[in-house]
Amino acid sequence: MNHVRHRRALLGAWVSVLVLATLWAEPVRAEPADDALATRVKAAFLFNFVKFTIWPQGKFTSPSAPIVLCVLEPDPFGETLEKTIADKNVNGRPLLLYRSNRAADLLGCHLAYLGASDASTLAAALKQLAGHSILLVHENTQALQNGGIRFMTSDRYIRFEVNLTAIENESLQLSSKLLALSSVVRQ
Amino acid sequence: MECSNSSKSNPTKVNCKKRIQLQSSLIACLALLTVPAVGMAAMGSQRTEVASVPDDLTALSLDQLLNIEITSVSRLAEPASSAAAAIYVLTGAEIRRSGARSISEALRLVPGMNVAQTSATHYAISARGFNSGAADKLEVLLDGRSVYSPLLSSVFWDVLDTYMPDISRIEVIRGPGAALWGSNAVNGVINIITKSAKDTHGVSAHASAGTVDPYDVGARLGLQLGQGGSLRLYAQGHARGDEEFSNGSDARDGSRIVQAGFRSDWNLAGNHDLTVSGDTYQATERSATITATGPDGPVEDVPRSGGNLLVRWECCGQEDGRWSMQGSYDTYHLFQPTVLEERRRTVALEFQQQWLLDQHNTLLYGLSWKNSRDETGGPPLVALFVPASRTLDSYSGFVQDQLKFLDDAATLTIGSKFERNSLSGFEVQPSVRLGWQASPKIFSWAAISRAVRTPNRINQDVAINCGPGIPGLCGPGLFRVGNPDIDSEKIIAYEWGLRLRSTERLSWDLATYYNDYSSLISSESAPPFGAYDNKLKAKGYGAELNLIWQATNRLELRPFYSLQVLDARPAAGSTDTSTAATLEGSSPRHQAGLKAYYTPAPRWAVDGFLRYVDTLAQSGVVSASSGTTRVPAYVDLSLRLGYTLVPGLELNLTGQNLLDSQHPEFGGVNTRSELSRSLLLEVRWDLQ
Repeated sequence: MNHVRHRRALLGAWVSVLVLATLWAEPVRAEPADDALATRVKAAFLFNFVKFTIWPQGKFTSPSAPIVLCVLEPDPFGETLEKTIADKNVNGRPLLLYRSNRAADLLGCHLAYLGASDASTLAAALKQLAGHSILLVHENTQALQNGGIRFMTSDRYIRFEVNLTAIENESLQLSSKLLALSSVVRQ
Repeated sequence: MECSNSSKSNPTKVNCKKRIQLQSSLIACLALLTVPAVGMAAMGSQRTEVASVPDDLTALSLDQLLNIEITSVSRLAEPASSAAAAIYVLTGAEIRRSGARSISEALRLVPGMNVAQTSATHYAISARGFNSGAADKLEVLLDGRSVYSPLLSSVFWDVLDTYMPDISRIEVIRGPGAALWGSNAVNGVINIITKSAKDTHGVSAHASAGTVDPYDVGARLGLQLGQGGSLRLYAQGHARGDEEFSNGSDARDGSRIVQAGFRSDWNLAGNHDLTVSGDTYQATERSATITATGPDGPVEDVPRSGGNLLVRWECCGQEDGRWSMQGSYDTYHLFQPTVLEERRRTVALEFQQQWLLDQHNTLLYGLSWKNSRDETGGPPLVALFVPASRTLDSYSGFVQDQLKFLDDAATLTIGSKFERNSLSGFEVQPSVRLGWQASPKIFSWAAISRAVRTPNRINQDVAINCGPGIPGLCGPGLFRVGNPDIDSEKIIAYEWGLRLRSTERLSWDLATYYNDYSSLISSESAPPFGAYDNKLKAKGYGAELNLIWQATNRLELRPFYSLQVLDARPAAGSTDTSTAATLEGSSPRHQAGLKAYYTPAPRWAVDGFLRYVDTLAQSGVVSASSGTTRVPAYVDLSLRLGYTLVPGLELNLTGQNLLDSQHPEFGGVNTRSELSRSLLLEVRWDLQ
């Protein structure tokens, strides 16, 4: 009896495998890997950060001057960030992208994404860029002094944390809509 | 299983057949009734990948961006590729995709573990042999709190639970881990780690209903508390429906449990981190009283309850000098009508610190103290303890040095645990582990370790209460089966493993072992019931192979296979002629399986788990009422179909035990429940 049942189970297993194999055989559409998705989501967040930030008057030379987004290399975005902001404007201002591997080159930026992953390099760059009304974005595992916004990747979603002390020190204003959706720390 | 006793009017009557050692049937009763393993609450967990993602993400609102799920199937788990041990990391993502509703169900996914469901509510869980409803050679920790009970050195899987979606990962080490984790880490360590409260902000909830299990519901609320603090609260409940015996009669083994808990994490000034967590549960488990003719006595609703509180304080720096201090309190109440009752509370304190002695040399050391006190029930219960209340103390320290050489390609880890405990005195549990990254794609490791399984209350103190006497079996009085001189069970384990990443998409993990056990607990004849001694020895060997293959961007396949052989025999002077066969026959020689995670479209998830479990020659003590405890080999399949309605809202349809209308997994033919085919529909809501 057990024998019969066992054999039936084996047969059932085999049929299931065949059915699944057929499902899997369906052609796979080329699709960007999920790493690329995370990058695209982060780029879209950067665009949103720009939308929801008010810089002090003196940070722009004219009412139509561009908003400059910068990446301190290493640059994890590749062409994603260019594509994301292409042909976009915010409050009538066009968006420009600029990359460099020297923090000193980025003093004129409005938003700077710091690609460095180790905490000490990051801290040095944050210190150098502080005081220039730049919205500084990084991905360190902990909040850092002078760091404006920190991306946090949980196991499924991208989240961000705002360091209000740093934002206020840079005379930036973030919209309450942005703050409502972020974690807030003071450091 | 004869110990039983069924009628309420005469609760001490024990219907035991003469020739059978009551003591072994007592063990069986305990294993089956009282201590049987699990049932778990836990809850749903399924989750699909998120809704379709538009090309231009800037068109989405911040809300929508926050809800884009970025996890890929390929990130379910990377093998812990440079650990010199047989380790498998079950990530939260894999648990979610599997649809596991409890910790026990999730452990089925771990290659090399033997997880057998013994009833609707209970499990037998072990690694590398020695399985039973009260398997006693694993150390199990939940967020660093040891959860095995000194009553039987086993885990009450039926009430070990947490809010499943908040599990970060479950690390399973097969083989000894005693140098770090201490006694009981003989055949494995299971480390269940929940997410920090910082990572669980927002509301999450789920509800499911099934053809066998009536409901599973649960919800969690996560909050930010000021700066640097987070808190989450959860509550959950579930019911397990009754299964059937092989003859089609109702096994009356369902259960209900409600549980609530919290976890709070704080970043304090000066880089201090504080974690406080706690849980409490109340369960009711149906249990048909077992009589001489089988489990056909009246059904009792057996209450279970317990709770715990944990505080952990960590400080300073990433590696050098970092220390952590942890205190925990744990209490539970166990009651099995007519058999036994136990209340226990355990307090534990631990300290651990690590130092980077130089660039290549890391020293880790720790100290701990544990105090566990129980109170057991008196007559007319059958299983009494002498003394009825006992306090167990254990003091231990460990030190481990990790030395890197060959340009950091090789790591030598030498360490030992030293422990003094009330039950077996002084224990030394050393280990030597060597890991070698031979090339970027090849890692090999080897280890030799010694570990002990310290005695428990049953081993040392249990006595059978014959009341006014049982005709043909025992005269009036109390007969001690426990042996106060019982010593620890010992193992010396030799392990070797190899990990290969043959392509970017395919990795292999092979672990092999040879285990030499001595002083295993035997049941020596000593009329009327016998007595425990340390007169068994065994040799075990086996291999475990686990593959992770990202077949396409949408499909991940994880085949696995494990071989397990145990050869047990009585030592010189032993009169125990039956236990060796039970040990040998309790775990399958071959297990194989295939896990498949398939994402046909962004909103859809199709997941399958096919597994083969070999025959169990003798799963537990054979007695007149249990019937044969042989369990035929079986093949089992579960499938899950997940669909995301809108970001954060998902529907899951899960089918379990699909290949059989019902099949048994463990225990005697007359006393074991058979697991029936079931369908389960779940709604999951997650608002972060």
